[in-house]
Amino acid sequence: MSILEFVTVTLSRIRSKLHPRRVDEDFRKELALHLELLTEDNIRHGMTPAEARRQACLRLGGVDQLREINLEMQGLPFIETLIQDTRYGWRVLHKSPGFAVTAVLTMALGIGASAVVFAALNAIILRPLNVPRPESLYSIHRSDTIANQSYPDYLDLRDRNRSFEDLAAYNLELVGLDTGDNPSRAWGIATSRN
Amino acid sequence: MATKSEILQGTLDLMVLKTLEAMGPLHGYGIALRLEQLSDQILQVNQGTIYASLVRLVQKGWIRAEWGTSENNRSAKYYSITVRGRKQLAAEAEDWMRISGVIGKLLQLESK
Repeated sequence: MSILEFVTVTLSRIRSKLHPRRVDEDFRKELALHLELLTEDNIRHGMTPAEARRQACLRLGGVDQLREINLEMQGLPFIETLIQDTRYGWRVLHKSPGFAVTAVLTMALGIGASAVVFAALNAIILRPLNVPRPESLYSIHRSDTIANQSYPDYLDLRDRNRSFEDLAAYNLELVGLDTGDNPSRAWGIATSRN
Repeated sequence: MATKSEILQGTLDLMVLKTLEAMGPLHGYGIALRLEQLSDQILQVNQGTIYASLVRLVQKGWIRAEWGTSENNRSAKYYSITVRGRKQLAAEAEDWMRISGVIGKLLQLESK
């Protein structure tokens, strides 16, 4: 179904929804006429009036069922169910306030905890680095236990490197930061020039 | 032979649309009669099924419904095809011809 078609159908359903009684009444009249005409045709074909009426009902199908289908097709089933569910939920919560408060608190705490964990995870792991092509950026370590590598090793790796575009070395340094009148200690990173 | 369940919704809609284009405004019973005459009773559906099809077609804006006076001066709801309905019918008829042509040829293939 195209978007235009969906909009047309939904608008038509909303229009019918504004006059639900008239929609049903119209349809009832329509079916009544159908039965009448069908019965008359049957009589013309030689049936007794009672038999003609019975056959007409069989031929048309159950009127109540047809009316139900008609109302369903002309309504807004999704929105109607949503409204019903909301009303029902509100009623149930209203009846047992203790349960309602517990449920609300449980959910609030759960959502809060999840939000905090996600925020941390997002900042540390999920958020991509603010550089072009972060997926091609790697950190090279000799082992998991030794924090620092030797500078000559770095030079060897750099000179024999065929896997990467380039290699740079860095070291964490404690530095004095002078922003004017009040010098303070800060963490800095010293890097090799490439 | 086609049974009730085998008649696809879309096929019925297309048949109703074509009937209204060919015959001009009709009420529900009139449409049911025409369809039965046309199909030589092959399509044995409850006549009430027509009304679901009519609702779908009205909602899509392909046909229009208006209360009028029937034979014997009874008020009846008359359905007629709209401009958009004619366009849709032309497009669907073309699709249908193409597909049925392919299926027809396929079924006539002789086995070797």
